[in-house]
Amino acid sequence: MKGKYNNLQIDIKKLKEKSEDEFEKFFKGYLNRIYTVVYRVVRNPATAEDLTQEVMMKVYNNIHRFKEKSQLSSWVFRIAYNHAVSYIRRHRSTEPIENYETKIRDGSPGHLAHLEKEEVSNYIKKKLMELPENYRVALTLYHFKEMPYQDIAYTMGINIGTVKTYIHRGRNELKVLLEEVIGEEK
Amino acid sequence: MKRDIKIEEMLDYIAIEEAPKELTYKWRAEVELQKERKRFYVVLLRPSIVFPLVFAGLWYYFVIFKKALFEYYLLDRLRSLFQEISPVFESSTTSIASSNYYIIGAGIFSIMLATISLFWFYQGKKLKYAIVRIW
Repeated sequence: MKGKYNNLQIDIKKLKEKSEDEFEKFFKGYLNRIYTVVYRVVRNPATAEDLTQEVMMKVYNNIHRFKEKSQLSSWVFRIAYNHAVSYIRRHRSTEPIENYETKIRDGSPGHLAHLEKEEVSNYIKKKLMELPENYRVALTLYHFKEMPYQDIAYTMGINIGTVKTYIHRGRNELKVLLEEVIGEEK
Repeated sequence: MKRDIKIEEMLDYIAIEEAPKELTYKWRAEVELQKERKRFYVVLLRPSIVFPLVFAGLWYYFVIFKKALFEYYLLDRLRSLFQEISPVFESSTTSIASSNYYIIGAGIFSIMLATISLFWFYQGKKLKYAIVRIW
């Protein structure tokens, strides 16, 4: 059975036969997204890197359990999300959070008008990371673009209504956090 | 001073983080390492548990169900072999053969083997975990 993920042609049968080349193709295509899901939960790049590595091994070792009732990508994101959440539960409040502020020349919001897009995006990332975990993960997955609400719900293990609520509230909270920076939305 | 930023656009822009590219290669190395660990487990560790159990099983089988055969081959033939080597061995095999000591001896020998095996097994497992991370 062939599956199309992010314009990648992935042969699930080959994955189940543990074809390393097929896995490599899939991981190369989805590495950034897997890492992002983990990173949005743990908020530490070094930890996210280690956990991403573990997620890749988990996927490789448990691919035979994939029942093809969902998208392969959603199944992988679900593993990544659950792995990161269980890590956070075990290591609550012991992990340092990366400080995006250090990447900004001047932290004062008023100064942002003069900053480059990259620096503004760092500032928004910082604010995104201040949102509650559920909101920031739901918002992130929603902005992966190709993910419908149903897949986000599956990834996070919640229902579609809750996903919509998280995205809506997350976006509103982010707007409040960024109200000094952003212009009116049309 | 506000900047004309659309939050949806910015969220699209920042949605995906850049992961270190070497993660894919690390994954490949980890897979190779896992295969190596599996080979290490199957070739070195599993026999350390299986062989003593099989050996102890065979030992008990001959001691209990094939006693005559056991006595003939392992004691009589062994005694005659030892007779040729040294009279000291001969007397010890005679004393073992004359009582039920050989059953107790077999038990002690099996337990000893199992203990050594378990020790080797857990040392091996420790070694296995020690080579999990090579970078």
